Order: sequence, then structure tokens, then C-alpha cells
Amino acid sequence: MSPITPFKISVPESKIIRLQRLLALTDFPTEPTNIEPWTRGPPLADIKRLAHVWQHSFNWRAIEAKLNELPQYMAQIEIEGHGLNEIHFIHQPSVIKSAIPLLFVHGWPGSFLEVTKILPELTEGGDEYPAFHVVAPSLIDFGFSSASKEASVKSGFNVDQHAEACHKLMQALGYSEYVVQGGDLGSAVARILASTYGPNSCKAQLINNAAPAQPTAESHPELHARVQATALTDGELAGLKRTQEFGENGNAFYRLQSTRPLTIAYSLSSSPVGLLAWIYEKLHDWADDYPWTETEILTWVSVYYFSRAGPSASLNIYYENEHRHPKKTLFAEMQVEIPDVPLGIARFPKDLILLPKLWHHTMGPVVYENEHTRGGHFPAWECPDAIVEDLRTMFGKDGGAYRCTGESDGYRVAND
Amino acid sequence: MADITPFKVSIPQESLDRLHQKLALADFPDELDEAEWDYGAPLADIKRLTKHWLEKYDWRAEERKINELPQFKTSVTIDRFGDLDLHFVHQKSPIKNAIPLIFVHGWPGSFLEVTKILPLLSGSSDGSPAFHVIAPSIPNFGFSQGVKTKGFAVPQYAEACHKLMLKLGYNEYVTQGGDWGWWITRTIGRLYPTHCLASHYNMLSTVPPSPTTNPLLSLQHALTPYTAAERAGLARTAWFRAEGQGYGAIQNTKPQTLGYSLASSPVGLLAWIYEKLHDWTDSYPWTDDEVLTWVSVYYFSTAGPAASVRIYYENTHDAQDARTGLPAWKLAQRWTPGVKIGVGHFPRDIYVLPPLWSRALGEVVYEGRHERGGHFAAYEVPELIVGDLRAMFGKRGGAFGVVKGKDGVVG
Repeated sequence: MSPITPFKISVPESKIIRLQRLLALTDFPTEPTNIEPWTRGPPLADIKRLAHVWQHSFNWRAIEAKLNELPQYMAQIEIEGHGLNEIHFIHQPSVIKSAIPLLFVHGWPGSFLEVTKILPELTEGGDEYPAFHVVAPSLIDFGFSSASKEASVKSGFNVDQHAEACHKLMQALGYSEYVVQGGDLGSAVARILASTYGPNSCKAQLINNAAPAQPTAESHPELHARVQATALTDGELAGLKRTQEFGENGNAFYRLQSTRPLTIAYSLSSSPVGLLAWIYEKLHDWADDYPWTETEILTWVSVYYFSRAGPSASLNIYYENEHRHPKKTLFAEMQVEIPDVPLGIARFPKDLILLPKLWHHTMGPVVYENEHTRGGHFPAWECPDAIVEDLRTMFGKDGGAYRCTGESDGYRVAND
Repeated sequence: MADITPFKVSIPQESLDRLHQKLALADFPDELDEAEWDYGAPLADIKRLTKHWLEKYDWRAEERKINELPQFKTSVTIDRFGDLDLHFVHQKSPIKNAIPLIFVHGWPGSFLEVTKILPLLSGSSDGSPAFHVIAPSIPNFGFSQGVKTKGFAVPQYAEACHKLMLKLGYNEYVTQGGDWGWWITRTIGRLYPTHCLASHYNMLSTVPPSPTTNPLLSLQHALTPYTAAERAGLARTAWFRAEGQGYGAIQNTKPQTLGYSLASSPVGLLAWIYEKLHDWTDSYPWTDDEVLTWVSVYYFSTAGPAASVRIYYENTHDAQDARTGLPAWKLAQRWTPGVKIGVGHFPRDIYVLPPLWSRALGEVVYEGRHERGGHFAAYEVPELIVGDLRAMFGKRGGAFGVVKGKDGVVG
């Protein structure tokens, strides 16, 4: 029995007051006068301005009230070896009873917020395109879900446990079969869902953030031959360049968070401006010139600052994923071929890792692929129409994953 | 010499008060009980240190102790950067022909690292040499000025140290350095070979000898099996590279992002530094006061703690040397003529590489293979660093009398 109860976000007033006191006490670093903006981190003027707004005019209560218009719930889920956890989630069923159950999994520094722009469109449909019942949790240690530490102080809560949590949530909601969409850490969770609970429960996966292995003559002889014979497109060449750029300049956070998360945790937990800079750098660098408003930035950061587990708990997944003894590291795991779960790939030009498209076939049966012309790492937020289009097409009547969830195919039944 | 002025550290009371306000408001992350040091500094340690910093730690008493050191300030002019105010310790030996030695610290160290070796280097006994010791806060650190523009990389730090020695009247001198002090003193030797005549290093970021530039050494390397100590050192180096360099990746690429945390959170700064004091040393029994004094030098630094990590970014993005097309860090790993080299190998440093690799750096006249000590050798095992210097520069040492007229020995 896993009780599911309605939930409303209600950050204690004391936390808001404390935030403002800390912001008032902030000392800022100097900044070399002639650097190229954004090469070393967010510009001082930006951070000062955002801190000022956060302290003086950002209205968390108004944001909270707006978020509480969303259908939010809390589910108690037992994780094997890790006790009873509480998962915060949005559940928006479609009026179409035979809609496709869709699990949307966020990453870092994202949150359940990323689903909010696509919710209305995804739950519509049923005639020309399929409709979805949408479930979007806060991962454990994120947002308003519990801290993995609350249930059990054991270490080792990694992507396998996050996948177990998501799967059990879908089961608790009565969705024995479902599909999953995920990016960033969410795409890793999607891969584990597919390999652990597919093809019986997890019927298909659409990921943005594929990081496939390179096919070799030994591993995939035919594919390898095709790769050798196929010139890379301009888009693919640009993508490789972007991947290299990310590897050289943009993934230090990953090295740190996956080896010494606690060392930065003290800063992120004690300094709102430190947390703001740590997250805002990614919002800028990882998006496709998305015109973030101050309210958006501060809302995204506040979800971390006011999170139930605290802003630092969200870093643990990085450490745990890279120390999954005796299993593989995270990237190696994501490269493992899953031959029996249909795979869809959404590619966005300003994402971080963009490898040659033919390589995707080492991951499993690619039934859908779309290379977009705009968008970055947070496509559901930056260009929601694109992700909606991807889902509607992949699962639509002409799509490669049509009817993968059987009669819940997203279309209106005649006597509905 | 009129503009070399005596200096005493004197932090304004309002800075102390503000620090206490922040410490009192500190929020802490959660931690897994079995974590020990795997994830970073343990919560119990940081909480205890924070409480001590707020309630009992006496900065004024520490300040008084620091001010027993002979400290000064002077200005040097750096090409393309203008005048920079430098803070430094200058202990003149009573022995007139003592050897001028500049001690160059790194990160997260400071001029304080010289404190324990100072008394042992000043006098001469049983023929062991005496030194005039100069230990600056390098620019952007301690009580030296911060650099306002970009591009101030290792060659500029080297220039600052060299010009300081010239200003003090030491036209020829020797150096000691580890961490950034290693990179900086290597570059001093390369850029100023007629001035910097000998260098002692601890922590060397060496590479295997190259068959093209060092065929004999390379062959010797290929044919000689590693000793147990060397294998242990390579394992430690591999551990550091796999698990311990996240901070470096951040500082190399996004120092400003990190800077917002370091500038605004004393607890964040404490944790960021304390992890190194633990991980990089040979079980050195840090007292809470020692830790907090080391961190306070960063917290109260003239340029602020965010400035201290810029050296990483600048070094990674350093302009290439016009003649060779190589950045300064690569040149530091290559043969430098004209500098007699002494090496101290300490088993718990972060790079512990086979001693043979150091012979590709230049004319190695002394090698100390120690069984104790880590990254902050002069602070952890001062007698071993002093022993190295006395052997290297003593009457039977390979660098004896390298500075003309200043062999450091009486009679």
C-alpha cells in the first residue's frame, strides 16, 4: 500500500526570512576588468542584479501560489535497501481515457518545473495526435521529494534507485505500462527504466541527451561499415565541436560533483548567491540563447534553495553514479544496448553532447529521430513545441512507437 | 630602498564582526554517516570548526603571532600590468654572506608555510649554510595586491618574485617552492637564468622522459623496474587524478562561478580548503586553530578569496611563448639550463612521480627521497626541507657556493 496524498508547496516563512538575511550579508568577489563575459562564470553585474531582485522584489509566495495550481501529490514509495521515501510529483491525466501514460523525468539543475509548459498540450489530443497522461516527479533529493538520507543514511542511492522510484510511482498510479521522456539525469533514469523494467512495463523511451558508444568493427560490423562510408553533416560536425567544447570547458562541475560533492555542498547550502551562480552558469551556457527572465532564474534556483532535502542533496547522485561498484560508471551504463525497447532521439543543436547520429543505433532500436534547428539542454522549457511535436510524432499513428502501450494508444475510442 | 616599508597584519574589527555574523547564520548540508572523507570534509569536522571559529578562535592572538614575523611591503612593476603592491616576509641572517633564498607558496598555502623553517635557516652551525629568507604572498594571495586585469599567468608571478629579489638587492639568488611555487620557480629559472642559480622543489609535476628530448633517460626509464615506493607514488598520483582534482577542473575553467561561493561563505571557503589540508598531507595533526588561521589568511586576504583561484584559469589559458609556441606550464616540465636543481620527494604529496623523471628538468644535484611528509612539506616536516637545503647548499653539496660570495658558511 503506498498512500498518495494531494500536496501543496508551502515553504516556511522562517526560510524566506533567513534567505533575505543571508542575501543582505553577501560579499561579492572582484572581477577582472577586461575578461570576455561568461568565459569564467556568470558576470558580476548579473549576479549582483539577481541577488538584489531576490532579496527585495522576488515574490516567492506568488510563485508558490501559481505552482500550487498544478495537480501535485506525494507518494510513499519503498526503495529496496533504502527505506520508505516520499516522492513529490505532478499528475495530470488527460480527459482521453486511453491516453498514453508518460513519465517525464527532469535532471540537474532542472526540476519538475520543466514539465509545466508542455502539460496542457500533451494532455490534449486524441484525434489528430495522441494524448498523454503526464506524470512528472521531483527526483528524490530534489525539489519537494524527500532526501534519500531521511529514509536511510546508507550511501549508494544512485540512478538505479531513482529508476526504481519512478517505476514504482507509475505502478502505484495504476500505469502498469508507460513510456518515458527524459533529459540530463532524466535520460539516464530513462535508460535504466528501459533496461530494468522494459519491455514489459517501460514500453518506449524518448531521450534528449543521447551519449552513444562509437560502433566498432567488432561490436557492430554493419553499422561500423555504414559509419565509415557516411560523411558527417555540418550539423554533426558542429555537434562534435560542441561536445569537445563541453568536455574542455563545461564539465568541471561533473568532475567535482562526482568525486567530492560535499566539498562544494557547504558553499551551496550556506550561500544563496553561491548557489545562484552555480546554477545560473548552466542556465546560460546550456540553453540556446533562451531569454531567461529574472523571475524564471530565481524560481529555478529557489526550487533548489527551498527544496526539502536542501540544495546540496541533489549533488549526491553524481557521486553515486560514478561509484556504482561493481557496476559500470554512468556513461558506460547509458551506452549499453537495450534491444527490446523502442528508442526515440531528440537532438537539439545547443545541447552539450552531440555525437554522430548513426552511433545512436548502438543504443537500441531507433524508431524515431529528430534533429531540431533550435534549442539546447532544457528543450521542454526553451522550445516546448519541439518536445510536444517529438512525442506526438513518435507515438502517433505513423510513428515508430505507435501502440506500444497497447490500447492506451492516446487516441479517442469511438464511444468515448 | 625608501619604499620598502615594514608591515603588520591588522584586520579591521568590522571585518571580524561581519565574519561572525555569517558564521552564526550558517546552514549546513546533510551527510551520509558512512561517508568519512570520501565525499569531502565530514560534517562533524566542519561544524566543529565553524563553532570554534565563531566562539573561541582568537584571530587577534593569531594576528599577533603572525606579526612576530619580519614583514614588509613594496611595489614592483610588472610588464603590461603596472605596479603591484607585494607583501613579504624578509628574514636577514646575521651571517653576512648568507644565501638569498626566495620561498614561493602555492594554493591553498601562503607565506605562513615558511614559518617553521625560518629559525632553522637563519643561522649556520657545523658548516651548514645560512640563508636570507624571503617569503612573499604572491599576487592575488595573502596581503599582496590583487591583479585587476586578465592574463596574469605564471610568467607574471615569476616576474613579480624576481623583481622583488632585485629590489631587495639580491641580484643572484636561489629558490624553494612546491605547488604553484614549483611552477613559478621553474619559470623563474627559465626566464632569469643568470639570476636564479639554483632551485629546490617539492611537488613536481613531471612527465616521463621523452625519447626524442632525453633518449638516455627514456631508455633507463623503460628498462628499470619501479621500486615499491615508486609504485606507491604512482598509485597515489592516480588516486589524486581520479578522485581529487574536481576542484582543479572548476578552478581551471570557471573560477568566477566558484568565486561567488568563496567570497560569500566562510563555511564554504573553510570546507573548500580544509579538504586539501587533510587529503594532501601525511596525517598531519592539524589543530583547529591552525586550520582556521590558514583559512583566515584567505578570508581576510587583500584581494579576496576568489582572486586566489584565478592563477588556475590563467595558467590553463596562458598565451604561448613566442619562441617555442608552448605555454608556460609545458615549458616548466622541460629541461631548464643554468639552474642547479634539488628535489625533495615526499610520499604523501599529490603528484609522487618516479625520481628519474625529475632528471629531465635540468642538472639535478641533490635528491631527497623521504619517508614522511606530504604536499605542505615545509610546514609538515620542516626539518626534512631544511635538511635538503643544508645538504644541497652545504660544503659537500652540489649547489655549494652557487651564488658568488654567498656560500652561507662562516669562515
